[in-house]
Amino acid sequence: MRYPSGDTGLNQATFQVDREEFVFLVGSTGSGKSTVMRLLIKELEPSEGTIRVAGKDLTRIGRRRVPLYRRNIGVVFQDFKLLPNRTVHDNVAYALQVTGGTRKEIRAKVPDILRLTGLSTKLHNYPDQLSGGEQQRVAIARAFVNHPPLLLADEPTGNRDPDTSIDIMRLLYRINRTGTTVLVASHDHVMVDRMRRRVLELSRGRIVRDEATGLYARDETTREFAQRLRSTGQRPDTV
Amino acid sequence: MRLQFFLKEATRSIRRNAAPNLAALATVVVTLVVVGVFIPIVQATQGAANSVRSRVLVDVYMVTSAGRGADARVQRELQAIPHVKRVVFESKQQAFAQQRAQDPAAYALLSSNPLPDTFHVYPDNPANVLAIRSAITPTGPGGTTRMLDRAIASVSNHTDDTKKLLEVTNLVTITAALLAALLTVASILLIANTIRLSLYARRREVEVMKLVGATDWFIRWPFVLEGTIVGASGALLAIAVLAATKIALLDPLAGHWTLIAAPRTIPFVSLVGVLVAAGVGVSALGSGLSLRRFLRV
Ligand SMILES: Nc1ncnc2c1ncn2[C@@H]1O[C@H](COP(=O)(O)OP(=O)(O)OP(=O)(O)O)[C@@H](O)[C@H]1O
Ligand SMILES: [Mg+2]
Repeated sequence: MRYPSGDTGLNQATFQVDREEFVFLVGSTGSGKSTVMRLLIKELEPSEGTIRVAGKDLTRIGRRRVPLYRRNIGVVFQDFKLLPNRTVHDNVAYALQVTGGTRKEIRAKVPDILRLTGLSTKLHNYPDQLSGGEQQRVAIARAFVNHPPLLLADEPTGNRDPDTSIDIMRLLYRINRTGTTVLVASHDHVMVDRMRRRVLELSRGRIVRDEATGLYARDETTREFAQRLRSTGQRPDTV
Repeated sequence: MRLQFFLKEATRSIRRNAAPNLAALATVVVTLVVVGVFIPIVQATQGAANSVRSRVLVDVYMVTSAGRGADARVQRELQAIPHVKRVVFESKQQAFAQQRAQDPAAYALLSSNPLPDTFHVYPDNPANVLAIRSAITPTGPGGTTRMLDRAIASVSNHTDDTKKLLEVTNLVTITAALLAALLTVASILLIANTIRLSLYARRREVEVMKLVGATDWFIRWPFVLEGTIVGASGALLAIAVLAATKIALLDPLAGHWTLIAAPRTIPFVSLVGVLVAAGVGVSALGSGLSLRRFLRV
């Protein structure tokens, strides 16, 4: 993936993520983590190669169908992208409103997700009245309010203290346990190690490591995982 | 639910962009007031011009001493002139009776009838009226004009008036059209500018909407609605201004000034329809312009 400016975003990064997996994407700054996310939601088009999500080639999704496709993916952006002049509740409800959610749906889903993310007491606060960790949780709530099958989180713990980071990781883990595939970009090595999940490492746009650290969610050993990877590893990126 | 959401977003945007929205609103109001004033004026002047055009004729006044014999002779002569369609005779008694009916007080003072016998000479085509006139008053060898018949005292026609009136009508129509066009362009541009500013003010919302999977039209609607609200409110305000003017100024005058009472102008209800349609059309164009240029969905 090359940006129009000529910068390389990703370079022949091939990987596959299975349904309901929890995967970390690590790498130093500028290694291409955000680029992966932006490719996955079709905000960018790959200059080469193919991306498959749920078996579907993204280049085959027409311009008009992109909005519908995106409704299946929740994204926690690196900069949150919260709306400063709307309350926590309205920020979360916004994602439902603009995708055609009914008022009934909003009444049912928004309080639920706010409870899950522990924001019930901050309902009427504006984003600038929240701590950084709380803002992140609002971003997660908005990304997950539709219960999408795939959740992308770009640096959800960036620059937070360990306790806050652990809280957020636990939240993401809970979301993963509801059956959602979760892809988390992070450069918080301590946290990634502690979570003991599969780790993809990027360096200057290339995949340089792909391994399950320690105990895997499905009690899969590193060797079994590596074997599975070998059998399907040449396939293009698939979720 | 959706309409409610769009409306809420649009009004929210109008409130936050009060200044440009007010500027656009004011321009729309001015434009539509001008259009609303000029439509009836243009219609009235054109109506007047048309009725004058259809009444183009040459009046031939006989000398007061002319008797029946002279009248019959002149009538034959007039009818022999090329392009004459019809010659209507009006005797001095008829003329007197008609004038007296119009202004009884003045004519009651007169002891005798000052009016001459008159022939109204109608051309087959208004364009030929000058030819007929010069046939009645041929230019003699010495450059002097004389009358076709000794019994003719004078000739009048309305061609000069007609020409002037047609010129004025054209001027009014062209001026009105130019002014309306200019103001319409200004309105469209100001609405476009308003929408551009509102797009800028709401760029975060637009970005989030795109990323969470709102459809293109879902993103566009609030902006289109914003423009439409401004356009329609402008139309309503313009109508209020026009209605107030009509009630306060024109209706009391209508009895005295026939141009205003002219029945051929547009009825107020239709004018309202035209103005609302124009307001909405202008705003739709303006917002469309900005959305095309600045909203890459
Ligand atoms: N819009 C862009 N235009 C040109 N180059 C870009 C653009 N966005 C990113 N890049 C380049 O692509 C490479 C990968 O960027 P990316 O944002 O994916 O990094 P990252 O891994 O997310 O970094 P960080 O940890 O700082 O968020 C970098 O070299 C960056 O300079
Ligand atoms: Mg990044």
